[in-house]
Amino acid sequence: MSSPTPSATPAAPATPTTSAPPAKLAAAAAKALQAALAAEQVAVWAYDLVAAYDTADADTIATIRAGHLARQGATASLLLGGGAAAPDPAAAYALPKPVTDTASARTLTAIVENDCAQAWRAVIGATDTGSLRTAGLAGLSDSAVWLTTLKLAAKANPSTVPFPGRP
Amino acid sequence: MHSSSPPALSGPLIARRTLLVGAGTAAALACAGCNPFATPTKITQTVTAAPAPVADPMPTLIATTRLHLVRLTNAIAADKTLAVQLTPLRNDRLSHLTGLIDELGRTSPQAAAVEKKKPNADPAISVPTGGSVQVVTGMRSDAALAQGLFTDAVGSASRYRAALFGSIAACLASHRVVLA
Repeated sequence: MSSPTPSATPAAPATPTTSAPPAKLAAAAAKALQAALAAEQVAVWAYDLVAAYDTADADTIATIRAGHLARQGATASLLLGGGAAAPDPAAAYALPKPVTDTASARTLTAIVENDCAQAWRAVIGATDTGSLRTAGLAGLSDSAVWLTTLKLAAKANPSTVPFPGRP
Repeated sequence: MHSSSPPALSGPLIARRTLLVGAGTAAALACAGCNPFATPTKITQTVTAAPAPVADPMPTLIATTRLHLVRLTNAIAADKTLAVQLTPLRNDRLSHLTGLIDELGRTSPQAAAVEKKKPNADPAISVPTGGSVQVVTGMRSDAALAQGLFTDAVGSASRYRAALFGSIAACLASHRVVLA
């Protein structure tokens, strides 16, 4: 399989924000945020693996990994600030399919971004707090944009999904 | 015998210092906007108007989605070279329109029935002219406008609708990447 042309300009991640956290997170919101944190932790770990197999998109992957890492930190801060636990990432995670080449690496990125999108959409639907919805929308939008960026780099069509994060 | 009575006062009735103090006070009042000689005027009362009631954003979101769907359709018809790029985006917008009308139907079946009957095609609605670049720029502006509308709607919506609006806003963010 030929290597795709790397995207000219990797999508810059939005700066995660931890402003105005609620004093005490409601149980449903905390649970949704913990799921989002776990998804971001998997993403950071997975992109390290993807980088080893998809060297043609190295710049894009590095940018996306940095975005997930920043969001992981911001999400942990939100949880801790709201009086909830923010578990540390695991040393490694089980993969749904083995990664052995560029194609399987790209498949993993699609799975990772879909999982993150689902988790952040669940955050939006688990709270009435504006700042948490804003954080959820930022995470959801970033995952949708990164998934599209990677699909464009792989010349996949369609490169978008109509409802990112919908199970 | 010589009398030693004090000399008679022959100065003005009002001392110069008193006159200056009075004039200065009047000038200061005038500068401050006070006219001590004016007749009493009406008292101004500040009344804070009540804010407009919050309206359901759904009609606006549906109308905007339908407009952008029509514009994408017309853009594809006007410039066949853009079909590969724009057709998937048009399909997404059609899914958004269907999803929004379905959601409207949960609370307002009659309004949803009216929306379903509206046409999704109108050749009279114009698209940018001048070439593919201008068309793509116009479609990108539409996506940005719609993303803003859906983002704004997330804050005050019910939880289910907030997730729906957020998902559509995220999709529109990805459309802007495709059209960049």
